Amino acid sequence: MWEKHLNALLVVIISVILWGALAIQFFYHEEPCALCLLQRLGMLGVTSGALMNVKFGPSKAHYGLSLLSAIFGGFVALRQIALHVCPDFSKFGEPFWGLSLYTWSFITFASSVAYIALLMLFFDKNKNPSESKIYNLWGHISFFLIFFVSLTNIFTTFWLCGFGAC
Amino acid sequence: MMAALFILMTLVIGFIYFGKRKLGIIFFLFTLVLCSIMLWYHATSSLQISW
Repeated sequence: MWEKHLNALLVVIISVILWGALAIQFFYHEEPCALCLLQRLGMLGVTSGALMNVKFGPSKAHYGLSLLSAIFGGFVALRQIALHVCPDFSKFGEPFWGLSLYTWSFITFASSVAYIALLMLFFDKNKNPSESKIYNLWGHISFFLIFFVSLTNIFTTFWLCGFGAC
Repeated sequence: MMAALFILMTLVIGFIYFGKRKLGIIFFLFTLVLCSIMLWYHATSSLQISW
């Protein structure tokens, strides 16, 4: 039961980060680049695996999906850090607490991998995912937070990039 | 294109909510493959200069 709660907590934390990114986009007028959008998609992927754990019960397959997404997002963030790592290159966007947003993004993905590894370490059960349709309050809150941030991202991305690749 | 990836990811979340596990996993993997293709496209196109 605790494992489900901790997975829901991961979803809530990442959805707060994504809402924060949207707030920075609107209030500080920092338009996201293509790599930033791919990092957001990676974060949504991490939460999708965690949401499956909340909905169907914890399973290695669900953790695997989250980890795949975290590796993808971390790779994108590292690429963006590498693009701006040279001293003469311009930075992309204003720093937040001393670090650029893509560095924070990498920290988020690395922390997600560590969090998932700890969950797998401390809740080592070989259970098949149950098809339980019961959602607790945490489950509902985490689902709606992540669903609406994802929905908002559809509109903002379409507004920013249209039908193009951005 | 990029908005379509967000639509797919939102669909995955919707499938999970409505209990369609297998469909969610298939769409999830499909979206991740498309994201990787998009990353490759951007890495090899001239757009990277503006980053």
